[in-house]
Amino acid sequence: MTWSDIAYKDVNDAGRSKTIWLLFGLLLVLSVGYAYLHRYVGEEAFSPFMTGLSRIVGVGLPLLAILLGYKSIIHERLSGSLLLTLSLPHDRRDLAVGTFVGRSLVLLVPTLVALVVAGAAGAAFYGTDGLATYPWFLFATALYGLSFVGIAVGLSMSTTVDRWVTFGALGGYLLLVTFWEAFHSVTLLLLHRFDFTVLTDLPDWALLFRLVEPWQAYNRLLRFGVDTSLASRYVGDGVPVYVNWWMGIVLLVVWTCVPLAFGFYRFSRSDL
Amino acid sequence: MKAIDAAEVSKRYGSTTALDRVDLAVEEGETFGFLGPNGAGKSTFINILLDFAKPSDGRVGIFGNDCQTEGVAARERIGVLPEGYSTIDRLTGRQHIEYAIRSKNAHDTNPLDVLDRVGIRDAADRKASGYSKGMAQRLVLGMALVGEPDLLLLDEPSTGLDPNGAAEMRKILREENERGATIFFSSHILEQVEAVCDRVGILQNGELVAVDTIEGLRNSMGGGTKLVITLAEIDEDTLPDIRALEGVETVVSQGDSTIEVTCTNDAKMDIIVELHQNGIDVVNFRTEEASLEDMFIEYTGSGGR
Repeated sequence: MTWSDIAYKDVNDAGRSKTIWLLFGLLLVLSVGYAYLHRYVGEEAFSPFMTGLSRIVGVGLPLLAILLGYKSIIHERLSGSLLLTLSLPHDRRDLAVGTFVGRSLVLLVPTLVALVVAGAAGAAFYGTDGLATYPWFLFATALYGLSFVGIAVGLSMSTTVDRWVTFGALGGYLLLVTFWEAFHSVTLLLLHRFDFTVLTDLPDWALLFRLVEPWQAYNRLLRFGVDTSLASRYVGDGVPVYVNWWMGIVLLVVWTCVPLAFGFYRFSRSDL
Repeated sequence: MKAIDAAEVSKRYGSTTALDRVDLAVEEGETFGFLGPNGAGKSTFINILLDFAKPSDGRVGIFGNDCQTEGVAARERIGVLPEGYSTIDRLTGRQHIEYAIRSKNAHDTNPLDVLDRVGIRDAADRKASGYSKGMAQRLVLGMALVGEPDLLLLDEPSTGLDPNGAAEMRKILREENERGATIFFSSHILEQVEAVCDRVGILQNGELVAVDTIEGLRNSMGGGTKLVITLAEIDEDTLPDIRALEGVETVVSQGDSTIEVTCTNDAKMDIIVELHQNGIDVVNFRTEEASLEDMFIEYTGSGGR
């Protein structure tokens, strides 16, 4: 189990980056600031506050995760510090796992701290009704963050061409966070020969296709534990069983593991 | 058991052959110099030992562990100074050593002692990214020394070191060898190899062209003795007469009255006697051992290529 040595090193190393801390300062200001400002934009109760907070996390956390992860392996590989790690009795699997765990810790510990602080502030402002679901919110957020760390670290292992990794990180963020809905709609329209009614009356499988977006999977999870309007399309009569809440977990785990596995496959077969 | 055992190791990149069927066995406890001009394939071979690169053919093991399939076990017993590394961005010198200590489970090692030994204790708590090349080289040597490895694998260890630093490096290698460690290092610099190595392998264009002791290489170079003789005068028969003697290989006139003769050890006196019999006065003579540099040039075609 030597990946823990690498994770420890990685936390020590990445945890000292000033940029990272600046971004987390921003996250803390945003989430606690939102706790204060929520009264002006939403209903003054805890659950709506949590829903609003999840929107901020939904956009901000992937960005942080990708920034933390997309250079993780390729930078070490191109600079040569990877050679020091792999000269020690570690294999490439240890390196992949250790880096993933290290970056995940660097992402999640400050994020969860910021959210706990924001949650406490929210409870103080808007009452504790619904506070019991907050741990579930934190758990779903952690899974959501991990999926983007997996994507970023996997991407970072997959090639030695810096440009591709940068484009991949940017493209991945835009597709998965910004444009999935458009991508989803365009795909459906193409398949249904531009019959626009398909967009209001989604076929069952398209519901799953929509849920593949990490942000939707995250919301589906929240809908299970928390009363949030963000995932209402996946509940109610007649929706297929495969868009139930557990599919949110499955999809987020898939988003974590598949890019990692793909990146590792390419990394383990190439010369450094 | 062999410290390093390579059988028919080849590495090809497209149509380029970087290593061509290299067979090499390094015995436990010896200091082995891996010599060759830049680009001969030294680093490729070491990268295969460390599983940074996979061989196209053949296999290589370290203490019986296959470097590709049992890489972790192979690297557990070695200390490495690779080529082309960089230090880890934001870690201090001390943290680098601690990383090695944790990775090798050498928890009773004090990082400051290691840094002291390689001469950079004063810089222990500075970020290694600010180190000079020579200091980084000392730091990574320190990481290699952690855990008393059975084999030290060093790729061009003197890169970036001043002469003093290179001498300290050789001293450390000698101490490690006396402790019982096998030393394997590559170099394109002859003096270093000559100074510490028991045996030498010469790599040229991906082929291992010679493996021998330095003494053995000298012998295979034809006795390895060079005679520089200053004569009172030279006439036209002098050079052919000497050339005709048994054991003489080359005779070269230096223009004035000095000639250089390479020959076996036994032939030295015969040459002097022959000159005397021909009535030519020998003003001065001295012998030189063929240097490794000469051998190196002989084997590799040109010294710097």
